[in-house]
Amino acid sequence: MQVLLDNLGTFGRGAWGTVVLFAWSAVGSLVLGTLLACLRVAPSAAMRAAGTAYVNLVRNTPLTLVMFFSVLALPQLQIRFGDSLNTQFRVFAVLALVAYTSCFVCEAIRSGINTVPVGQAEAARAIGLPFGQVLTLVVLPQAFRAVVPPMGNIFIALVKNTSVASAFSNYELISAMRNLIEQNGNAVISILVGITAAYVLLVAVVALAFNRLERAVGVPA
Amino acid sequence: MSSVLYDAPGPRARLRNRVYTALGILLVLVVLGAVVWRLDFAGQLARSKWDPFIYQDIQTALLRAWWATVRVALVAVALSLALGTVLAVLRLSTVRALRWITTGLVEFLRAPPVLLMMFWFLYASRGAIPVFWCAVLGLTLYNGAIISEILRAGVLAVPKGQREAAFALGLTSGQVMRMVLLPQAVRSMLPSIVAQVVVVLKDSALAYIIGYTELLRWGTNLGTEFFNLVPASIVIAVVYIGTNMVIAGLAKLLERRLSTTAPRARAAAAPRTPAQVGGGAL
Repeated sequence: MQVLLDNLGTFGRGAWGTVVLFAWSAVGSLVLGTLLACLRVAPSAAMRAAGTAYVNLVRNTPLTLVMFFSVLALPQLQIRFGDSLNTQFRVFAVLALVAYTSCFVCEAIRSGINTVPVGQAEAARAIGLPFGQVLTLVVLPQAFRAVVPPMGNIFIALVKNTSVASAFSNYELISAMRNLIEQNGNAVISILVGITAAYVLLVAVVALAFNRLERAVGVPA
Repeated sequence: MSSVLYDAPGPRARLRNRVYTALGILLVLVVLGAVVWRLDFAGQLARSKWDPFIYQDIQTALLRAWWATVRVALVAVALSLALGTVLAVLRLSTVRALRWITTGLVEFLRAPPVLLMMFWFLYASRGAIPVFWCAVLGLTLYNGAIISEILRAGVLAVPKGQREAAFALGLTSGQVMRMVLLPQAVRSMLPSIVAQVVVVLKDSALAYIIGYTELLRWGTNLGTEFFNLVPASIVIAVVYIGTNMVIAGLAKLLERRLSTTAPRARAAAAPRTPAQVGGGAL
């Protein structure tokens, strides 16, 4: 364990990288996932088809490949963000995580919309709300409450998925681990244990937060 | 679903929907057009970048790389089915200590990223374990835990009378599990299990990161050789999506064929769709 205490800086920098990747991707995929869900239940067939096509395409592509495309192909298409190389790679990784995770967010919200009693939407229409307002004022708020548990699972998976970014020039827990192992070949096991513990801790925090959230706003079964 | 959100459209709504449809198609076309324009602008649509894919030896190499990916996934699926069954049985055991230990183990295995699990084997063995097996074992540990959860849900969803009747016949608890409960659980959970195969296949791409030569590695090698990284990654994406869609279609087919025979087990199992059991479907 001495290795970890001696290299708390590296370790902390890695953990911070993971948290930053997670936070931006969580916000982004929540937004994009909700938009996709709206597309998938839209009254126009073309919008539904567009949403379905996106979800099916991206969901069936490995995250590694999505990120590969984002990090290596986007610069070739002369799409760039920010000046510093570090920011650049971080943005690419977040874009990939958002593109990938929002498919699962979309599917969760869509199944949440199905749990909203039909009477709710009928009553909303009866008082004269148009589709957009039925969705945003009546159905979606209730759907969100119903999907807290699956959303928790999606965000737990997101914490773990940030590890893929290590292979694409992002500094996070896995990169910190590889750094530490290169420098301390004699303490491999304790480094592995430490990094694993960090992930378990992060996952536990997210799980706990979603448990609290479910108790606060969740729909009782 | 549509009935929740809107009534049958009247003439004005139909007109509006048609406008939305036109706008939607326009939007998709604009996005697609922008992508194609960007690709063309960057010179990625040039013949020379796509020509390599018509050479026969490159196609055979692609097939071989595909097989390298599928091989990891297949071995990992077989091993995780075995591990998953063992864990599920232990977790449903009558011995409390065994139950506790297995519960802890399954919960623990679901927490770290699969990539980290692959690194466990790679680094802890100091490279003594070949990367192929590091990838397989990492995938097995995680997906074994997920499959054990799926099977456990399936066993718990088998009607109580089955177990009671089997005990009444004088079977031992091991026999009840092996001959009565597990077969029904596997049957009712087959769609979820097949869906998990898609997850394994997708996660096998992580083997690229620990240095195993599979589809993605083959693509980067080809891309650096012919300067066509973008076309190569598009081809790989098509291969992955195609393979996954075939498996996903298979899962749907299985579900439809089994749906008439096991409605109760499926209903009980429904809240635990694969996406939820582990969040692992990601």
